[in-house]
Amino acid sequence: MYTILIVDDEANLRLLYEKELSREGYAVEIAATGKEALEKFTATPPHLVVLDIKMPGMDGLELMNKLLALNNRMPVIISSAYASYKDNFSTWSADAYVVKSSDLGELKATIRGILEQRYGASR
Amino acid sequence: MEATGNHDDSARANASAEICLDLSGRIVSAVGIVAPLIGNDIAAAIGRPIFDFVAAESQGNFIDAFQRALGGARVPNGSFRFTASGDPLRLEFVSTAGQSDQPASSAVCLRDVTVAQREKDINTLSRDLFNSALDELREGVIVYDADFHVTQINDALISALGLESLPPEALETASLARGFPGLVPDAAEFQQIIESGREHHTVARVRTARGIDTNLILNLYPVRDATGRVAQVVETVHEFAADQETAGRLQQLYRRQQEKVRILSVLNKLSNDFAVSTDEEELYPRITRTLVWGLGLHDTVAVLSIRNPDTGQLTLRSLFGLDTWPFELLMDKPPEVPEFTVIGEEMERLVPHLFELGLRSAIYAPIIVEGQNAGWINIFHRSREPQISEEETLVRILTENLKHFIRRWNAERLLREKVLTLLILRQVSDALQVGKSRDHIAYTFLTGVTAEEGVGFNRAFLFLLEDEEERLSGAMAVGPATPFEAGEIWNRLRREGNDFSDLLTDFDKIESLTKTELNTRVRACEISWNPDSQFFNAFESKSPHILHRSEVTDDGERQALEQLGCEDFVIAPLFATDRPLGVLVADNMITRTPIRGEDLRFLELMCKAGQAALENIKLYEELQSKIESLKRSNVLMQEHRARLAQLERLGAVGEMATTVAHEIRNPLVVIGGFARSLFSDLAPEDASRKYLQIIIDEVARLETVVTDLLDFAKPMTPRFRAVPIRDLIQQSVSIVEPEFNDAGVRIVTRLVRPSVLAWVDPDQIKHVLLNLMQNALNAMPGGGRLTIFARTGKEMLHIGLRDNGCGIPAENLEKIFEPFFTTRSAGTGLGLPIVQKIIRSHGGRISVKSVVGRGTTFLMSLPYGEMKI
Repeated sequence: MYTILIVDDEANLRLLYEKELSREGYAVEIAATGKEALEKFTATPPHLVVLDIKMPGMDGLELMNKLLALNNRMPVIISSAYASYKDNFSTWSADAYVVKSSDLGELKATIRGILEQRYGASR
Repeated sequence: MEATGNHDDSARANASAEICLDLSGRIVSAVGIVAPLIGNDIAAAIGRPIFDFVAAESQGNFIDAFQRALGGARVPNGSFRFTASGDPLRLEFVSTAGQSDQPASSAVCLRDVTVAQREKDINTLSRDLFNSALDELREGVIVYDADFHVTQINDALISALGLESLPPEALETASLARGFPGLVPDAAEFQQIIESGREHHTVARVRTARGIDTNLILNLYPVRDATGRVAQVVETVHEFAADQETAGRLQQLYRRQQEKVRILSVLNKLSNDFAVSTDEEELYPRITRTLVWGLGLHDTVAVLSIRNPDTGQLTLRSLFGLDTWPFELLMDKPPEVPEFTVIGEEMERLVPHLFELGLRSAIYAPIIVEGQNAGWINIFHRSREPQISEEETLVRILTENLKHFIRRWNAERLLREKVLTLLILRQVSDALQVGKSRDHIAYTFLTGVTAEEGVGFNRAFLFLLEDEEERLSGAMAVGPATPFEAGEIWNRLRREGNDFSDLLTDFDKIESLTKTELNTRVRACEISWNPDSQFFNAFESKSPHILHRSEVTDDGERQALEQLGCEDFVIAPLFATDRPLGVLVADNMITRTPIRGEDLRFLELMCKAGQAALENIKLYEELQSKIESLKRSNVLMQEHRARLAQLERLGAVGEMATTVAHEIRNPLVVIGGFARSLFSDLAPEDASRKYLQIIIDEVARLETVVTDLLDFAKPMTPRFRAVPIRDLIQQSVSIVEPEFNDAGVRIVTRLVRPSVLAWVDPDQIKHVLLNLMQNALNAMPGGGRLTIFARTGKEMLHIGLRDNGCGIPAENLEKIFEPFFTTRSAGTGLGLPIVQKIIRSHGGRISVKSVVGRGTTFLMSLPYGEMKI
């Protein structure tokens, strides 16, 4: 079973992701801030991280760099309300950039694709 | 208070106005033409002090005269200025106190004797002339008026009778009759002469004042005035020795008397004419005519010739008594004789040609003005000699008078010329200020220069500098083909009372005048700069000067002058402040009048006015073109500003939109996300699923809005590639084709060759096409046709989408590209603004045409190229 770490400052979104991704069969860890994310990351290393960019305190990009510093092979998906960051080169370090939508289909498919690619066959 | 009745009566008769004043100078009454003294409102003047109406400079003298009159002294007529009138008036001050026919409070009366005085002056003048003529005569003459008063008595008679010592008052009818019985006719005789109009001859023996008895022949001749009434009687008194009485001699004497009287009446008449005449054209014929009539109609020929002060040429001005040619023979004197000449016997020898004409004697009298011969009065007789010795005297007197007249006339002529010059200058200056184009100005200027005979020139040509001052090019010519034409314009102006500026406003009608032969010729003249060029050297001299064609060495110039027919001409340089502008050439080819110094000065003045105007026009034209280009820039700037404003608005919208969109997006994700989650949690049969679906759909719709907004707001830099446009369009069509087919809308394409490449961001253009096609589909709910066409233009590729849908109302056509404008219930209204933004960032344009009920066409242009195969 894969573990996914979700980082988002919105409580309701965290709840949604947890519900839906659990349904997909993943173990879901959630963090509200960059700091919390780092703690959980070191405590329970996930297989994949999904993080938001716009967060108070440490923003998503800074967090991403820190996480990659700890493990530079960690797959990272940026899930953001902003489409403009797609063109920002600093987001290219991420493995994927998904614009938030009420239809989580794209996110789910992207997660599946990267896990397969990185870790081989599912589950 | 001294005042004689006689004095008052005659004075009153001669006054044109009478104002009575009281002791303090207040006006008591005013009778007659008083307006020049006290103005038109007589009622208001009564009661006011007269001094209010006297001009400042005359106050002193006036008060003086008034006080003296009050004191009873006899005040000589003085000249005073009044504020109501311009010229000074001659006034007589008379004390009136105590007179019964004057108002009670009247102390002094003012009489305006200006007119009477003037008449008296004129009379005095002619009187003086007449007297001097009389005094020349050797016979005694007494002249009586119709009332038998002596008005003239000449020196010859005074000395013959020994009357020198007598006071003038004694020389009147009664005392003469008393002192010299027989000299003066008695009253009855006189009356008969007046009534019958017939001459009367008598003889008398009279004792002179020195006690000498003299035999006298007395002849009385009535002289008629213009009405035919006998106004005067002339008495000639001739002495004769008793032992020399012969009938023949008497006859001769009578005849001579008659002639003398004729002479006197001639002189009398002419003396008046000289004093008042202002027109030589009228005067000269009158002189010759009077001479001939006065001296003997059948016998005399009188010739008056005057020398032209400019040319020195003698011209015949008047001839009377001969109606055969040749006139010129009569004008000048034969060279062998001295100046003033009387020719009798030598006529045949000296002037045989005149002798052949039947003339037997001649008097040649020169008119000398300022030491120069200014003309001749010549008198010829068909009898042997000049008939009377007094003729010579008569002629001398005439020449003397003519001399004065000519001098005055010349002075007036010069003055008239100067006045005319100034008048022309003023009119032309005024017109030059109004002139609106270079042709107007040139035409005005040249017409001013060719003004009128005596002032200005016959013809004028204007050459202007072109090509950075390397070339003089003929611009305009004003010149008559005949002298008549020249005066025509000015005469017409005078007749019609027009201003020169009126002439200019009719310029278009007169434009045909500028299409003359002369004008065509001058416009063909071109003179290039070279060191010998006289025309270009004119700029060195800076003022007009005279040249002759033979002095011109440069071939080009020579040719030009030949073409224009110039021989003697004036050349004047024209400057615009310091820069040379052109040259003016003028000549007198028609009249061949020599060019004088005054003409050059006149030209200089005209040039100053003309060059200022020409420069103004040049500046004006430059200004006009600058204004035009500024206007154009301004229009462009307006467009830019509008676009900038729009961009700013969009920018603001964009910023706001971005923030709002992001704030909205997260909640939407939560709402929609959970709705979907719940949806999949519920069993398929669960009715609540339906409602969850609604929530899902609505959220999806909202998300679209957010995406659109963010798309619109973000700056999308196109990534350009050379793309075959045909393929791109066909791809877009295939995407929507299924939807179109379902809706019953047919797509027709008319596209360019596959080799045509558009320089575009293909994704963005696809977005544009899809958006426009979607709009077209929405406009044809019941089906229709969409035509997509593409064609290559000179620089741009044009793509059009034409549908036959419902169309867009005219008032909305401008707004459809504005953000958030929508007529549909769904949609953000951002579709077309985004399309426009994309097209513009491609360097293209998009426009729309529509007719309600017929359809809409969108047309856009994009940069393109051809693929080289």
